[in-house]
Amino acid sequence: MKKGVLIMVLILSTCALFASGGKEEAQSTEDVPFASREVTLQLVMEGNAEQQEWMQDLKKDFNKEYPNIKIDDIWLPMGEGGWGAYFTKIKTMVASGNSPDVVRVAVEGFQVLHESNLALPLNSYIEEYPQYVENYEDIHPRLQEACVIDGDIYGFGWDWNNIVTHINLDMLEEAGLPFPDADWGKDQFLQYAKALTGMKDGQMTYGVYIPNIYFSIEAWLYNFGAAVLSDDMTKGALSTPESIEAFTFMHDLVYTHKVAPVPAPGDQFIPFMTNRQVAMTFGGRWPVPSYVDAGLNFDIQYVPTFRTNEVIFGVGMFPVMTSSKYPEEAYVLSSWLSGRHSQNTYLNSFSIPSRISVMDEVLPANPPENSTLYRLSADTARVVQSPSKYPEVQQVVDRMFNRMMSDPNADVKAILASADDELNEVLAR
Amino acid sequence: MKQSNKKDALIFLGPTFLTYVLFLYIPILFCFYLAFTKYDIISASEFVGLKNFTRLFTYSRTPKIYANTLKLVVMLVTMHTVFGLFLALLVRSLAHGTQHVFRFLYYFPCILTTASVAIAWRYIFNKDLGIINYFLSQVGVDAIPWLNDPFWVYGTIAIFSLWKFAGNAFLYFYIGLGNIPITYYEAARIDGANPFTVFKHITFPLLTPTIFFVVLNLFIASSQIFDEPFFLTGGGPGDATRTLNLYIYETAYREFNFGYSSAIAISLFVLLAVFTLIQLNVSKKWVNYDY
Repeated sequence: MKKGVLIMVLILSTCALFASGGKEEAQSTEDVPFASREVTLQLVMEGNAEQQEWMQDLKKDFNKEYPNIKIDDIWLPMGEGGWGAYFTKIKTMVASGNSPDVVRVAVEGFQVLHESNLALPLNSYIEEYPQYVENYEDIHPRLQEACVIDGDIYGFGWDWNNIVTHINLDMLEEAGLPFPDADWGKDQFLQYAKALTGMKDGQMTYGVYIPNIYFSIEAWLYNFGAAVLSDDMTKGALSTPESIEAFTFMHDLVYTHKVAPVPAPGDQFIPFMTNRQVAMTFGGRWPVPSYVDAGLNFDIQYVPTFRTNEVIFGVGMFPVMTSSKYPEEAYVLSSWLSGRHSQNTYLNSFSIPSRISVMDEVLPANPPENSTLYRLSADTARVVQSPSKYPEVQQVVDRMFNRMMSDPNADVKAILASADDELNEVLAR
Repeated sequence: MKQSNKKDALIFLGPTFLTYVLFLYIPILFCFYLAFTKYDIISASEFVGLKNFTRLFTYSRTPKIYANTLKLVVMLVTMHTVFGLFLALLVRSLAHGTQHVFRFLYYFPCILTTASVAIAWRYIFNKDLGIINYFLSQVGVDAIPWLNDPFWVYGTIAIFSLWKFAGNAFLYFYIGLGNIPITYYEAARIDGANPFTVFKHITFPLLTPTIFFVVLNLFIASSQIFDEPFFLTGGGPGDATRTLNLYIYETAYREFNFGYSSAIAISLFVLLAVFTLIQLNVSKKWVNYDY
């Protein structure tokens, strides 16, 4: 708690520095010693072909302002292993002596980089060259907090995602159900899931697709008052009564209430939503372009309040690697990428911008109708637990979840206890 | 050998030999070294003695992973050999022109990228929303948990593997059958032998070198099976289909525990070497090279 307060104080004091005229006292961008140094920076990103095209536009815009800094963008596929696999590839690049200068990471991998001393604290650069940081206060403070460890700023919040309920509005209307309120609870959710399950045109449709990835599983746990790990992330917390209740409820949705299909390993819920095979599921903003392309009539609502309501979030940033030969230019790029222009250009559909001003502009102008929920949820959101052993923790959770959900007679309590043992072993290693 | 021939041999074999040394033998030796260290590719390696092997042989998940690999080897080697041979015999019995069409059809899945087709098959196999169970439900069959049941999941891997890779064994057998001199078949026909007798006394004995080659290759390939469990089942449910190669990958590229993953790789290497030597010795008793 004390550490959290200290971090907030440091963030706020940094904000105050920028807000109170630090900019006026700073050199202009032409006067800095590296202003005319010709360099090429390697930027590692993940994303699809469309996002790669947007990046080319951003590169051109960046080079209009900084013609001396060329960007060599390297795109790593996220693949089957999710963020864990992505960070693994970055680590492999570093180990092979081909370390990039700036990398896009989500908070799930940030700790991995930090523990390996691969991410450079930017405080000294911010102090020396504050002119490169665009309105620091505009980055939502709760999101920016996740980019700071012990007062060291490792990046600027760029994009973020949370987990909310995605609802097929046509199916809701056919079932004669009104759109749920923000404070809907477990009973109402179950009632909806039952009403939305049934045969249609000879095909089974399910009320809900239960969360099957670490991020969304933990989103549910948060709303049950539980979490994957203890608060200090040193022990597994899957066998707490709240967690057992959460997983038992998920298991019951599949096997007792029969309102959810059995989730298979690695399943993506998006095709099931766009094929109208499920009516409700849980995700962030990333499925929105697929829904829109498929002409899905949908909207979003908070995850039901099972015990409490605590929206999970993960934030993306652009840390500078410690091995960068050009840390000043890398800092400039990292900072520029978190700016308003970059967020407006790149983040208008699949992810949520971290800047309050951009969220207020972009979200109401884009589907779904209740998009401002993304913005509102930031105020109370809690970051996803991402220890430095995240790739292994994710594996344990995936394996446990898969084993539990595949077995109609699973002993939920015993499986969670054994998963906790494994998590404890991983975290102690 | 003449001096000039020796020089030619060196020139032609040298680059290939160098490639093997650089990309195969040195990494294998390095793997033996790493197995006795703690190494995360970022920090320097640290000697830990037999610690990695102790973990391997005492870790509760290890026996299951070895057993899974063995189950898949037995299942896939048998199925691919029998099915490949059956397809080859079937195609060889067709008219020459038609054979080209079926050769193409059976081999075609082999040239597709495993990752992309496996992901498509994962949706096809989905218990509640997949197309196979949809058609089964139309004829009154209950949904089969293709990807969610420790028993059925092996059937799923078998179906996918046969669809995707049976073309390889088929092609070897197809070529092997073509190498059997036609005069033997003509003599048998004159003597009034029926198709079963022909297969038993001519085709099978003369095909044994090909069968041995196919079995040995399948054995090595299926011991190293990775794609099917990785893309179809993720090693699950639980650890039900986690194989040694998948485990090696996970410990190396998720845990960054290259020492431990090298120890597992060495155990696989030793097992493969022992089984291959046994097969080579046993083969002398049943493989017929004289024809």
